[in-house]
Amino acid sequence: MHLTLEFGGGLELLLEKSIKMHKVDVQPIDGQEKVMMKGLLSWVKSNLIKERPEMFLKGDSVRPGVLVLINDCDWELCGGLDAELEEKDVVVFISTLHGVL
Amino acid sequence: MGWAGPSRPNRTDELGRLSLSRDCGKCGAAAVAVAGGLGLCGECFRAHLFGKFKLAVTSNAMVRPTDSLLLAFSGGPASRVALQFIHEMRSKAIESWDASNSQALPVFGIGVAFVDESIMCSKPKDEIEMAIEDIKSIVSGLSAGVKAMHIAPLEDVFSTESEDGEGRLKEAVDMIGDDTGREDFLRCLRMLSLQKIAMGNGYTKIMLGSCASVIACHVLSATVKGQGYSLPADVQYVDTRWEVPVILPLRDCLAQELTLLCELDSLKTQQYLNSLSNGINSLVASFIERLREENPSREHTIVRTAQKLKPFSFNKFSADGYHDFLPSRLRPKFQKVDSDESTFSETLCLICGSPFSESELQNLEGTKHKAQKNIDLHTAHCCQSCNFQIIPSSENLNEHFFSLLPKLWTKRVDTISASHSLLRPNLVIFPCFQMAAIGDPAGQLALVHEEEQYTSGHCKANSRVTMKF
Repeated sequence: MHLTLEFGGGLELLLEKSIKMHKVDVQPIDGQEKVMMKGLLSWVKSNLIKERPEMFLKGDSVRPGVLVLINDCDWELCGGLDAELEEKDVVVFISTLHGVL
Repeated sequence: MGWAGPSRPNRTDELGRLSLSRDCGKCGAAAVAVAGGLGLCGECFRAHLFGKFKLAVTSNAMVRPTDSLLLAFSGGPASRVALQFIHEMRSKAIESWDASNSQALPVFGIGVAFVDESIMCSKPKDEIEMAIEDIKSIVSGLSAGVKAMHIAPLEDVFSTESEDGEGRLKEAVDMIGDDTGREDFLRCLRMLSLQKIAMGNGYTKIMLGSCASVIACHVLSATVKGQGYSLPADVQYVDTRWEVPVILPLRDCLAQELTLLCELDSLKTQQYLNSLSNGINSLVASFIERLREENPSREHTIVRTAQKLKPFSFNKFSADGYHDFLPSRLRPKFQKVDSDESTFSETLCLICGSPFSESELQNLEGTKHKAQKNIDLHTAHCCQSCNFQIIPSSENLNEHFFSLLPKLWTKRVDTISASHSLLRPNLVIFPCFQMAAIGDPAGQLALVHEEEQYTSGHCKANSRVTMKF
């Protein structure tokens, strides 16, 4: 499944060469038909995050303070971790930093 | 807050939380954002935030038609939204002005300031330059309406006629041993830089993008640092203790909402120059992030609770200069011209601007009478918190430290000490509040006020601050 992933607000620093945009091809986890957000998160952790994974993930989900959008829609409105992704979906991860904004 | 009749019933997830309807709670279109517990479409979400901004501006009479506003732009999402919204308000004001029969009243002007702190960060020069070019292009991308952009290197506040500021700034920062102290010191310098830009270019107000999340962080971190007395001064809509008054119109918006708006509206931000935070401030920010997990409105709760502390007299505009523009419903928001409230009587810390508590005032009075050296006077003009976390402890060092500080700060000591007495006969003694933040098992965050004599700085054994995780 081809997806476009974007990282912002500082999260890009955890990736190789701080690249913000990634076009990826993700396979469903064995046994499942579709790619769920949960599966995508662990795929990102294994394949894209190069350092300090705790800044991005906490347990199965994203660390508090990380905003997730699926096709420009807050993932809470799409089912959160159980959201089912579709071909060509755009998923955006942004860290909402505290401090002087 | 009622539902506007969602078309499908709400489901609960495994944790028993209501999951949100996918229809906008206001207009029924497809929801993309969550705000105030409601799913909203892009337009309603935007209107929700703009509404808060506009309400803050109008109900606190933040902007007069004759004002020249300086917007402090950091490159981040909150100040980006502030820039967008104030620009929009101005465009609408211009339209009305164009259309009106009488054009007697002008429309306020906007300038933008960016404080360049890149001297303190160790990133490659060319990348820093690119980031600053980005910042410039973001501002110039707005249609005409911003009259000027000011980019001031932080070290400029240290420059003297003979010397470059860079060396002095770095030396002063190196003398601060405490990570949190260093961060707070830089924050004070940032404000000084903004004041300098505003004063030098004729601006009458400074607009900050400080949002509810940042204020909630400040409430908790100030409490932890023993700054409970001065805390109310920093968390209001209006702060007039500075040469150029400061306004906070985004005070009711959350960082998460502002970040989302930038994403939805493709408002470009530039955060490359943000430095990593190591001390108490970032610890508190992480704590608040964790609270949000259970309840997204925690930050509002913290700010609302802090609002119960009495603000200072300088947290209101004086009515001077507002007579002509002031609707009667707004008069209570202003200091009464005929009462003592309007005369500014607070003594402020040299470095951070915190109003002095009773004990700090007494210490200052006492020092003035028996001070042998200038250095004693300088340290007595700083609050206990700055003395603890910023000023070097040994006497040899701290004299040198003060010699490095911006003259805009230290010259005040010489003028003040030469003149009037600080204590007026009818001085009102403000009780000092320490706040204990307690998270109980039910997940309710309660802030409990305790009146206590202001004693000392960070987390000493007898300070009544506990935070339970």
